[in-house]
Amino acid sequence: MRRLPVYLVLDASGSMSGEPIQAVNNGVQMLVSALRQDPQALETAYLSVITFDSSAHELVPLTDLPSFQAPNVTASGVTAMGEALELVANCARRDVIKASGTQKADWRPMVFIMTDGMPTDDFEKGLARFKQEKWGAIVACAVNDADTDILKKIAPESVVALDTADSAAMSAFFKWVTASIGLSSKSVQNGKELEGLDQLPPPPPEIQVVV
Amino acid sequence: MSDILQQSKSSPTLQEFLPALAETLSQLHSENSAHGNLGKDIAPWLDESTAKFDPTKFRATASISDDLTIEERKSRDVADFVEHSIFWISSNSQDEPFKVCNHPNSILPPLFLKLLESCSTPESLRLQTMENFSELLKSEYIQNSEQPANAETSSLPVETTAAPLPPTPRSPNIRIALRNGTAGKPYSVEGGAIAGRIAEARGDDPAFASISHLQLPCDSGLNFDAATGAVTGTPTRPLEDVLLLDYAVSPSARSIRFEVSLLINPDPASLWKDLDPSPEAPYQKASLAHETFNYPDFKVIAASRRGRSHANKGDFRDDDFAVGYAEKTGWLVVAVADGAGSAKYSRKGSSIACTSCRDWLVGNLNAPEYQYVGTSKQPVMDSESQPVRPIRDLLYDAARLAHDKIERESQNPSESLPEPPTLRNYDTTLILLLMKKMGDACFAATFSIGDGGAGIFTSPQDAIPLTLPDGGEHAGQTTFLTIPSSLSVKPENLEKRYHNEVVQNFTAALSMTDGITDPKFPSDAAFADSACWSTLWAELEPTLESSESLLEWMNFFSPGNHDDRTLVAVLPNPSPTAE
Repeated sequence: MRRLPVYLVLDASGSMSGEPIQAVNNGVQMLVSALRQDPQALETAYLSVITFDSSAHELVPLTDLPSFQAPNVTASGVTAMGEALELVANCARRDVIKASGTQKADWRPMVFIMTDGMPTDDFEKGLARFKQEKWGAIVACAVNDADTDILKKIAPESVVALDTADSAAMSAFFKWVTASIGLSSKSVQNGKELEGLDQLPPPPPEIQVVV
Repeated sequence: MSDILQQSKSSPTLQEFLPALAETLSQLHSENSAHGNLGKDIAPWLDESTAKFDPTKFRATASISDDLTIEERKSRDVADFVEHSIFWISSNSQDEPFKVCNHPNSILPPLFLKLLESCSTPESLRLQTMENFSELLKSEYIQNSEQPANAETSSLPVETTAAPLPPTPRSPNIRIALRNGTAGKPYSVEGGAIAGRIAEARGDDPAFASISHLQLPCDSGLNFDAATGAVTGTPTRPLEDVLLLDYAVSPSARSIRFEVSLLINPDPASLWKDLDPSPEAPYQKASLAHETFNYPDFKVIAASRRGRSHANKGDFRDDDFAVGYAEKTGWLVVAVADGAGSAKYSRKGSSIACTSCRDWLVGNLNAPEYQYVGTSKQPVMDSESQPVRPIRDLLYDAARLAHDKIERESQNPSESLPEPPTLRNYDTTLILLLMKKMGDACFAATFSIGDGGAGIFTSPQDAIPLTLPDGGEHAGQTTFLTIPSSLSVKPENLEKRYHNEVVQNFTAALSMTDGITDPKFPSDAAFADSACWSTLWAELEPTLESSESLLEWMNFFSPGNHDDRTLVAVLPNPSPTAE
C-alpha cells in the first residue's frame, strides 16, 4: 500500500519550556486524535516525531497512524536546527519507499517544522542535506520571534508564523496541520499530491502566512 | 546540602509532598530487601500493622541532640529524615541527588525528591514538625492532584481535606500505554508484558512482578486474565481511555496503582461516508455506470464506480469508459480514462477522452482498408496486405484529437462554470484498446497515457500485459493526456505508449483504471507476473455474468485503495447476436 509519510520536526529547546512545550504535546495528541477519525488518513498516513534541542532526536520513528502513540516532549538546551534537518532527511531517505519493480512508491513525505528560535549549530550543512530529499509539502512555522528568513530557506513556499506560543495558537496550528494531512491523504488517494501552501487548506487567523 | 538543594527551582506544596512521602515510604518498605539501605533504615520507623510512617518510632531511633528545645527537636525530626534520605540517595547513586529523580529507572518519585529539597529550606524546617507529618500521614493519602499548586508551600498547618482512600497508592511517574488496537480486529497483549514494562521502568525484577487487576471498560470486548496478565479480545468500539491497574513487585508485596492508556482506533471501513455530489455542480456524472455489449466477435462487460474517497466527500466519479465496434471491419474499440482527483473538472476530461476516441476510431476503422491489420512495428496480416496507416499512428491521432477537444472545452466550456477553467482542470489518463479477430487468432493493440493498465489472457493462467507502468519515482506521479509532453512524437514516447500482440488462444482482455490495478497488482513487477493476473481472473470470472455483478464485485475493500474503479472485460463471444 502507498503510504503518506508525515514528519513533525519540533523545537524542544529551553525557550519552549513551560506552556509552549505543553501546548506542543497537546497539539500532537489532538492531531493524532483528529486524524484517527479520517478513514483515509487512518489507512494512509504514517507519522514520525523528530525533536531538536542541543541535538536532534528521532523521538518516534515513522509509524502507521493506528499504532502511533503520542510522545511526551520535554524542552531544554539550545537549538540544533541544522542537525534536525539532517536527521529528518536521513530518516526520509531510510523510510520512504521509492518505486521499484517490486514495490509501489510511497507518497512524497510532508514535513512540518516548528521553531521559536535561531539555529545554534551549522544550519547550512543541515539545510544542504535536507534539500537533497524530495519532499511533498514543507511547512515551516515560526513561533514568537523565530527568524522567518531562516525558515524561508527551508520552506521557500510555505512559512507561517504564530505570534504567541500559547495553547490557543498552538492548537490552531495543529488543527491546521491535521487538516493539511487530511487533505493530502485525500488527494493522494485520488492520485495526486500537494505542493506548496496554496494547495493546503487556508490557515486560521491565528496563523500568519509569511511566504 | 544547601548547594544540592538549590538545584531545583520549583518547590512543591506540602500537599504534594505528603502523598509522595507516604508513597515512597510504603514503597521502600515493601521493597525493603530489593532496595537496600534506605528501605532497611526506615523500616523501624514504620508501623508494622499499617506500614505507615510512625513519627514516634522515628523519634525514638533518630539521633537528636538533647540540648534543643522541644520545638527545635520536633523540627529536627524532619530535618534528620530529609538529610538521611538525601544522604542515602547520594551514597547509592553516581549522580547528584536531585538528578537521580530524572533517571528513568529511579525508584524514587521525582516529586518526592523535590519535596525533600523544599522541606529542607530553613523556613520550612522551622515550620515543619513531625507532629504535623504524623497528623497528615494519619489522614493517609491525600488526593490533591486537582488542586492548583499552592504558593505558600511552607506554611503550616495545612488545611487538608482528606479524600476517600483509594485502595492502594498511585504511582504517577511512569506513563504506560498499551499497544493500540483497532475496532473489529483481534487484540492481545501477552501475559506478563504489562507487569514487565512497569518492572523495567521501575527497576524491579520482572520475574516476580505481576498485575492483579486491570480495569477494562465492560463492553469493550476486551478481557483481562488475572492469572496470566494477558489482555485479549476483539474491541467492539473505538476507545481512548486511561485504565487503572494494580501492580505488585512480588507476590507478597502490596500492590501499587498505575494508570495505563489504551487506544482503540475506529474501523476505517466504518468511517466512510456515502455523500451525493451537489445536483447544481457542472458536469454531472452518475456515481455508477455499467453496460454489456454484444458484438459479432466480442462480448464486452464494462463497469465503473465512484471510489469511497470521492463518496466520502460527495465528489463525482472521475473515471469513465466508452466501448464501440466498427461493424464493417470487425474492430472493437475500448477506451478507459481516470480523471485526476486533484483536477476539478477531470470527470469531464475523462468523458471527452473516452467518447471522442471511441467515435473517431470507430469511424476511421470502418474504412475498408482496415479489413486487414498493419502496424509500423509488426505487420500482421491474415490476407494479402494493403498499405494501411499504422495502427499506432491511428491511436496516437485519436489521443491527440481527444487532447484538442478537451482543450477546446477548457477554452469554451459547454456548461456554465463559476470561473474560466484551465486545461489542467480536466486532467485525465487514457487507455485505448483495439481488438480484432483474425481467423482463430486475435490482434490487440493499446495506447496508454498515465496509470492503470490493460492485459490479455491466453488462458485462465496466462496473461500478457498490454501496457507499461507509467508512474514516477513517488506515488501519484503519473502523466495525463492533458500534459503536452505525454503526446510527444518522439520515438521513445510512442514506443512506451503503444503495444500490440497477436494471441492464438484469446481468453479475455481487461482494461482497467488504477482503482483496480493498484489493489490487484501491488507492484510493477506484479503487473508483469502471470500469477497475479491469474489470481485476478479467478476472482473476476464468476462476476462477468453481467455488468451488474461486475459492478458489485468492484466494491471490494482494500485498505488505502479507495479511488474510482473502472474495468472493461472483453470476452470472445460464443453466441454472437445474429447479424
